[in-house]
Amino acid sequence: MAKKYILVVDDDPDLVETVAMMLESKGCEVGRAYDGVEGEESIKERRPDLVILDIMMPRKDGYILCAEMKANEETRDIPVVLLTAVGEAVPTTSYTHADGMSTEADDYIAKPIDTEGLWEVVTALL
Amino acid sequence: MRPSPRLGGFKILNEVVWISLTQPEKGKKFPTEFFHILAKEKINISFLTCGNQNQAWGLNIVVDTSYASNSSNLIEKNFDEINPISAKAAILSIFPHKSNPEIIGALLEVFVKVGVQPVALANSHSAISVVLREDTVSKATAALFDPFRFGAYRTPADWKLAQKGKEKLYKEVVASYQEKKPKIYGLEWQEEQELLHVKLDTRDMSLMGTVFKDFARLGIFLTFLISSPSHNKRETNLLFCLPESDKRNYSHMIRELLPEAVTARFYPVAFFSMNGPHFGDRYGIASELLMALDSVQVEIIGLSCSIHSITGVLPADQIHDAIRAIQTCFDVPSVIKKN
Repeated sequence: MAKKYILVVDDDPDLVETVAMMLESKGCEVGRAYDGVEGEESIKERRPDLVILDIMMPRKDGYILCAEMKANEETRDIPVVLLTAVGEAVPTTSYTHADGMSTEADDYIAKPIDTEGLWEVVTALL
Repeated sequence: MRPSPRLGGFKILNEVVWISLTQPEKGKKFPTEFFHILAKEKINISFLTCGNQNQAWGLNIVVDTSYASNSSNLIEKNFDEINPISAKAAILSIFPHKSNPEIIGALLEVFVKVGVQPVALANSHSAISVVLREDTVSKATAALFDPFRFGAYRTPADWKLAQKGKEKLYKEVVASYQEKKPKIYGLEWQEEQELLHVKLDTRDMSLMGTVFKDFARLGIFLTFLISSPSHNKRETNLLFCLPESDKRNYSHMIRELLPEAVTARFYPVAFFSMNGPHFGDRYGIASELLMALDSVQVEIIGLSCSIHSITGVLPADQIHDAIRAIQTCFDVPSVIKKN
């Protein structure tokens, strides 16, 4: 089976490396991008099998990038996992799971992420 | 000609103040006491390096401008024998470095070339962070495009345009983290390391850059790196870890290029590294860690906090005690030993 190519987009470079190392240890090929615009350019350059996408990022946040991907015929079918910085229990922020689901992300996972939990989400979508 | 290393990007944290201090005699507990005092006042430390040699401590910390006055007052009130230095600053971080010493080598060389002198530096899990005086940031940013290529930005002008419209969203997020045990993404550790303590005239930083690039040519990985202040303001201390298995190669190089520079070597040492959500934006994390390590008599030799990572170096025979202590005060999903 061909190696899966997963793009990780997050403005925390330490988290990008943590997630990338986990995915690479599972046999995936990993691309890295550090903000929403770079993520968008990376997707155009090489189509990923799945995108792991932070929400709060400079230049273009994860919500907008996800919504744009889902609105585009060419990228609509690429699974997107959103990383949310706050849990459901904090209703005062604008970044709740409910908002996440309304952008048609395929799944979400709350930070601090459990890398094994993230892998389960990834394998379910691939 | 070899192509320039391609990096993912760089970021700058502005509107901060750098504070540097040396404590010659306080003993092992000084950093714990120091960071506990700041944590009690809810002062977040965006960057820190802490180096020990013969029980004397050198610390660099960076705090938001809004905390600068309070921090200085606390130092004066609690440690009146210390005379800290402080300056308006910014933290410039480039990433990812992948433990490749060529990156820090090239950075030091280009900074010397353009007349920029970092006042502190450290590497994290993925990034190299340098603390710069505020008035040197523009020059330093422009200089990065000489030795490096960045995927997202082709020129300094591209980068400047990209900074518009950024919002400070973190306070709301940070306030939501109220766990009893802060969660981390994972804990890594590695042994069979040697820690070298190098004292340099600041004019010799370019030579140190050459040494690091030579390490890279030999395939040596740089696993820990901090700078630590010196009493002599024209000097700086660098503490870094290298695999003991490469000792013959790197010792030869350092002797050739900087024959008098190595002032101490510690072997065997181990280092640990962990990162957690918004660790760079939340107060009390370093204090929590040091109190836990103190409780089991672990003696930190070097420590850094940068981006959202914490890395520490200690005598190798204390690493398992350190890991257990970290697991008591942080929610650790996995512990990975690196080879």
